[in-house]
Amino acid sequence: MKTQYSRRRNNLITPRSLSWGSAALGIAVLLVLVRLIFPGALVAIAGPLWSLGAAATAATTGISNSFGNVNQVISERDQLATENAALTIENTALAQKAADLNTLLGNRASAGADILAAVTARPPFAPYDTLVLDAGSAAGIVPGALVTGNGGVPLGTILSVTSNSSRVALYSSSGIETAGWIGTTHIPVTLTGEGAGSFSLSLPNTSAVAVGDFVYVPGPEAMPVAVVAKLTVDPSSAFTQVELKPLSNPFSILWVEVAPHALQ
Amino acid sequence: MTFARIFPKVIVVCALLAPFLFPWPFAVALMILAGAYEPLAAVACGLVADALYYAHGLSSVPYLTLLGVAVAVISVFVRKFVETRIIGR
Repeated sequence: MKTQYSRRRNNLITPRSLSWGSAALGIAVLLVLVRLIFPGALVAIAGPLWSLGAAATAATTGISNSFGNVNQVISERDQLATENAALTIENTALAQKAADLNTLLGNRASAGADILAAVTARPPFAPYDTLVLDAGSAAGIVPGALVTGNGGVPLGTILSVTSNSSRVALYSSSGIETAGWIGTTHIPVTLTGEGAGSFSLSLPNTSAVAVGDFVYVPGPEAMPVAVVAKLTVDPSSAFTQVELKPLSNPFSILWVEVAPHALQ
Repeated sequence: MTFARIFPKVIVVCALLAPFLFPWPFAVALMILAGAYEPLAAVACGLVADALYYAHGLSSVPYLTLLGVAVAVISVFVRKFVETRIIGR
């Protein structure tokens, strides 16, 4: 007996699925066209939704954190308060010293005022390890400009600019290589981005690097981006694998400063 | 209208909004789920995510669009070669 196949079941794209699938595809193609023709308009459209998503994530994080160990949180808070007080004193002393040196020698780093910009989209929302800023060429941002976060920590460089928005390529973007230095003796190294704020680095076994050493990238001056968290020495290899802890968490960046000129 | 009929449409809408609202791994999970019901929706989700976040200087390939196409192809493949054979028995 000949097997009877349902013609309707065999249709890969039924009229109903075509309507929903094609409608979704139509919206997507429209967004792609907006991105290509009016890239600034897309950021303006997405801005409120990004804000909503960030608020929802913050609320979810707050709820999940409330289930944590209260005593541990209190202990961490006390420890951080003590560290903060010590760092404030140290920072004040260093700021005074820097001011004295600037008065004496002049400040080569003060090429112009940085541009403050809010971050509208960041990892983990952005899958390519980029930041989307709410300021663009109208505010004076140019491609290639250095972007810094809290405390002047370098985050990356401006990749593309529209009139009212810009995209930042983070130094930690996967596969991005950045020249820099490590340690007090400023050993030249190449940092490789691993995504989500992390870097990888390997050094010859003979390098004088210790846990706690800072890693610097070029800017107006050598600027720290990460600190050595762990050194893994393989006896069978001539290289030491260096685990780095970034000084800035890209998941929680709200504001950045953008240099008014491109890096040389 | 039953829940079984509404659910795929809700998933498609959620998957389209996910790149705006949720971290990208969650958006990809919704894309795969939507692709299981509507193959074209997976492509759409990939396109939306890349329209929002793709940066030419960082990546030469729009990975999320390619992932959406892959999910759609797998979904069509499953519908064609698995579901039809089961129904044909």
